[in-house]
Amino acid sequence: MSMQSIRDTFFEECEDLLEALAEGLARMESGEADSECLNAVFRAVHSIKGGAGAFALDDLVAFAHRFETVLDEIRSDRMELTDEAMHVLLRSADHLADLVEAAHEERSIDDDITAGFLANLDACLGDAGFEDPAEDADFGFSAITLDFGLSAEFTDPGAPGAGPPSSTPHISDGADPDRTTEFGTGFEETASPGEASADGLSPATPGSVPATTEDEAPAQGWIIHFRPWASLYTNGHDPFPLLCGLEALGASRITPDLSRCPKPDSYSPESPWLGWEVHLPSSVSHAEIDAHFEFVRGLCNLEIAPQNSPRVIEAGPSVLSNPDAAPPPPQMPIHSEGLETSAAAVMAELGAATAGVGVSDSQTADTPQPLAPRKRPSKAEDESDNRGPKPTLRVDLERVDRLINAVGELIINQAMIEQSVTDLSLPAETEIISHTEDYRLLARDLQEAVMAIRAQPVKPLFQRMSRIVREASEATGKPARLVTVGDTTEVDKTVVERLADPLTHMIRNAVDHGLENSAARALAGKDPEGTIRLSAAHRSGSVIITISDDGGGLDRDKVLAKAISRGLVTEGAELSDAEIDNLLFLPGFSTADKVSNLSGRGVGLDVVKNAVTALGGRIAISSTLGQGSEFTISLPPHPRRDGRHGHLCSRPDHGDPHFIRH
Amino acid sequence: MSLRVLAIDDSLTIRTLLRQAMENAGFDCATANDGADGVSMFAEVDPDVVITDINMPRLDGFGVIEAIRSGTHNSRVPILVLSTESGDALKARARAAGATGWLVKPFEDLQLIAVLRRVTGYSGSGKAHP
Repeated sequence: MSMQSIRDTFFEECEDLLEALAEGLARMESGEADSECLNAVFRAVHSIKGGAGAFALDDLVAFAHRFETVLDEIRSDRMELTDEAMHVLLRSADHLADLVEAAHEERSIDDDITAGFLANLDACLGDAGFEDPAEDADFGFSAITLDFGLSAEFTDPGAPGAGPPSSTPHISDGADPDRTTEFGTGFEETASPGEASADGLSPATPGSVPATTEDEAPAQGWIIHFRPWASLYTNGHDPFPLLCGLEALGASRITPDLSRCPKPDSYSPESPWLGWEVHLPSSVSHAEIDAHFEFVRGLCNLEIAPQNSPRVIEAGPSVLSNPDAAPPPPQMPIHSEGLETSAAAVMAELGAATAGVGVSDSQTADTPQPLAPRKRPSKAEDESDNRGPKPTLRVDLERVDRLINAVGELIINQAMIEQSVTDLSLPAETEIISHTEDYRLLARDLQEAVMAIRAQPVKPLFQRMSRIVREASEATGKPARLVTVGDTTEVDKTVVERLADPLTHMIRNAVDHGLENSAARALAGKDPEGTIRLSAAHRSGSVIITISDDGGGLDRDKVLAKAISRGLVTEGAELSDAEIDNLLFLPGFSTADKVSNLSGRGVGLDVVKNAVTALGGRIAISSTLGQGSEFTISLPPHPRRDGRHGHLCSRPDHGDPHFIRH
Repeated sequence: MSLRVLAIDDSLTIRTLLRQAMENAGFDCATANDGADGVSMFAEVDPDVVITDINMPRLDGFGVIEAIRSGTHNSRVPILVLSTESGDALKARARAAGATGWLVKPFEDLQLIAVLRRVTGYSGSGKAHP
């Protein structure tokens, strides 16, 4: 899969996410949002951020991050969702959609515009403001960061009551010679070595070279002491690859450190005690070694010291008594040449040793384990990508269209056969007549089913319109709300796509020209906030979409006067109300006295009408003075799609009745 | 046998990117859409390593880690968190739940592969980059 197609996937996914975002925000606005809804809204923005990061769409990442921060405050109840905040969220969602669109088209949006939205989001957070901008800046922008970076805060979860281990992996901390003695303390009868090590005191380097810093390579290389705690194993780590990795870094000697091996009478199979001493050449930097151990920091005793510091290995732990009265502890010959070995050999030992050490799960212990044949991820799992609340399948539209074309040909073929059979004037009981009848019914079913694949709910389209109402309302200063009805009505994908512009235009018109200003509304005894209603329904085989407003209705005298002044109607002509209303659809007609920024862009309702007609539909208007206007668009369920399926429409004698209405 | 990876992320984009990275490296990659799917697929996929997002519907990444760690099957599998988040508190929470490591999105394929090899010890050569 090419990067371009993954990019396409991302933008497709963004559409879904923006839709989910709009839907969730709508629920929040109406006060119906539960916590899952808030989480879904957060995740929508979060996922856009995550995907955008992969394509280095920094503007988008930065904006989504701020947006997400505010949403996170709201979902965790740290911030109240005021009307003002709700407004900012809605506008931010709009801007996020703009940023996605801009990124898709590989253009950028003026930073000043984004800055305005960011300022609004910041304002939402009040005094708390945004966290450290420095953190913000490197948040998710940089290349992969691979660390837990937590050594200071981490305690070994397997070490109850232990304070934060001060055992950082850096030798500077271990330069206190006194601490070497700590190695022998802390063991109690039932204590795990993990607990013992969580006393926080690493075995250190007596008389070590305190001057050694991280970026300074020691003359004789490094000596590393590494002893996992139980938590290292339970967090899914395996010392084997770690040691192998050290070998790859050039480790010359990897020696098991058996000094923590408990006495037989206090041996606990759950307690890891095995450690390793590793010699690394000076060509390896401290940072490289650090990076190698970054995930296990805080899960083990780790000590990285320059080799030229004489290290005294103290006695192993005394298991039974307190350190003061300790009998001579068992000594393990840990530097014996005979034990020096390669990582692979060490691991063979480890396999045996860890069988009883801290790792009760043999799967981890017997590394590398022989892998039993396992099932490959099944096809169903691979397709699980498309599993949502309702199972869906993403299919290339071209494939669907090929199918539709083939079915179209089949329908024609069926009609021709039927005609040929009829022409034969066979006796009515002839078998082929009933077969032909079955064929016709099956072909119709098939066609219906195939066309249904292209059907989509109008919801996303309607949701986009709420943005248009918001913007139009802001631009005109007329408060308005959008009410949608029947947004689960399914229509052909082409309708959804091609109705976007006409609907946008009509919604703007409705706010700009349809609604009165709030003062006039108040005078007329109406709610100062106007209502734009958008509905969709299937009615007697057609898709009916209505756009209505509760404004002042058409002033027919004015319409007629304008039409006359434009030369569209001859003076003195007698027109019915319906005829006058339909003048609006004539090219070049505009009722607005002055061209407004919003809807008067020289695009009239004639363009809307053309778009509807191109889909094989009709548009009508009805209006009542003082009560508002309603536009009704009536569309065939399967619109004509230029060229490609023309034959479906061009054979009214054979085709499906659905295709012959125009 | 190639390394078997289970990638859990609710973003189709990230799943696609992960799958591509894994397949380029010659690894087997199964993907799950959310934490609940990931946990239910875990036994069947029986991965050598799990990569999981944190913010997911139905079951988040912490839940995934806890479910796997407390399970009876392959509970010591390395689990890497792949998230856009990088806060210490979240990392600490993930580690307490039993995460093996934490990677920050966006990821670079080669570094991700290197980390997978490091935590699994998998040294198979896999396929070269096409």
